Amino acid sequence: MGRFIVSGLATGVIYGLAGLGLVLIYKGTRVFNFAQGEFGTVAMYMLYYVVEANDGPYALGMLAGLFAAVVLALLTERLVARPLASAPKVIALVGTAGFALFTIGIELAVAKPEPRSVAPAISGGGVPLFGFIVSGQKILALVVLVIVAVAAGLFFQRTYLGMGILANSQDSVATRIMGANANRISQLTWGIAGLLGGIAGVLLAPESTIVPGYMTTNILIPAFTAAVVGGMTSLPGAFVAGEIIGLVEGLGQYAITRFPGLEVVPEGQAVLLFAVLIVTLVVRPNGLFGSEA
Amino acid sequence: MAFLELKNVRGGYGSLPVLHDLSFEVEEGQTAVILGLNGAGKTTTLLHIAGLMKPWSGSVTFDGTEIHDKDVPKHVESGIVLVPEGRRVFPALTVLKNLRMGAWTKRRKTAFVKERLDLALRYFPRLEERKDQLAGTLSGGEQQMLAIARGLMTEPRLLMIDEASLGLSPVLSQTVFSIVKQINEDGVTVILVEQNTGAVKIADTTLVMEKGGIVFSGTGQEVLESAEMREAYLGAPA
Repeated sequence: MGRFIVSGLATGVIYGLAGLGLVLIYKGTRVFNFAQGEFGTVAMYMLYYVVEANDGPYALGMLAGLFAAVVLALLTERLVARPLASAPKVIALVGTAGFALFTIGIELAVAKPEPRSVAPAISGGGVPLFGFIVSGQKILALVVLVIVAVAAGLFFQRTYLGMGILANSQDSVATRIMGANANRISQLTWGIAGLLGGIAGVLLAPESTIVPGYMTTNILIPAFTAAVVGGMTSLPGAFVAGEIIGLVEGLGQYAITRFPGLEVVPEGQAVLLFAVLIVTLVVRPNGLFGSEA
Repeated sequence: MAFLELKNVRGGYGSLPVLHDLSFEVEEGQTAVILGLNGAGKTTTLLHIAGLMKPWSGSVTFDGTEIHDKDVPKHVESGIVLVPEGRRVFPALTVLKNLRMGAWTKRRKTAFVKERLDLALRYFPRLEERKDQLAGTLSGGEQQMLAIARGLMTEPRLLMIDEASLGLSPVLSQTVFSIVKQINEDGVTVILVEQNTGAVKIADTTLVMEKGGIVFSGTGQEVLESAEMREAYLGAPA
């Protein structure tokens, strides 16, 4: 059981990172960003092209991945979010979903639907826990998530730019009246979300079979669940809820191995995910850490 | 040349004209009150001066420089600050953070921001008591005080307050007006937009707007004594 818990917590790190990106965009613009997953997928592909296809240094591959994710996020801001800034939020939401599909189309055209894989950033370096070796890559992911969560918290609590993003999300007209450049604030918000998505992508890449749309189909739904369970506006909430979702999935896997009859439930893990979501929304409609709907 | 001068300003929303050849001047150090009924174009006038709307034609000159083509940050940097209608405080930020947002264009000058923060809280001691409270939890009067205090954070030379007394009790309105008077005496030129004649008492100049133009300009006393003005524009019997 221990290994399922550890494995679940490690997966939860990725949900937490992607969830942080979603929360950031939601805090900044009140839009659910369906393109968040693809920020991660393009980062995976860049890492693959630098490290595997061209034998480049791993650090360069990671940087290229993060760069590509930020560029894609800034394109989403410029082509979708900004033109739709004053449209109803649901229109912007559909716009981001459309942009995600467009990006997946480009990935299919360029990378073809062939599965690809990338070596881990840290080979070896595993730590035994509950009779199970936690890989160096998983430990790296956890350390990065903690650093990112703390940095994001400090950014919003302590810096003028972070405060500007929060203010803009509450009243963009008033922010403009204060003399702030709303477009710059919007770019900053999306750039950071792109960076978070990119970090999730490069950390997850070695443990994934990379195909077009990978992060959207595999990570986006659990990340959304993490963001909603965490309260949608709470950065620590996304972090903690990501871990809860990962843990529930891990325990679900354990249950399937323990009670063979359960494997007949199709998509059993997804069912568990939605069960967590529904129970949270019924018991705490604003999520675990949310202060507003 | 006047401190603020609007000359034949035409402007509006989409193709709907609101301001029709609007012209008026405000001298440095004055408190001017713009009175008028709903839809007269008072708020639109302030939005044009603040740079949030661009005139279709005509000019807005501030301290000798034409500003109507410039963006809002330039207006704020040159000292023009708008306290908007409906207060528009940031509800989920604390009072202190709302105030700091007011100094956005000077955010890199840490000592300056601290100095202005102290000054703003001296004008509004009530906010000092509530500084760590979320702005959305303040009463209407406190939110109005916060909106004005936030407007003071950039060291304005021209402070424009849209409907300062809206939704406030007469006593609280007078408190707000007396603080505004104090701000003016400390050297800030003030334009108040009001439907409430209570503001006239602290004004050096009173302008009455109708259908996007100025129909009367004079001292507050002259407006109050004019039977025609009282009946037609202030809704009070002659």
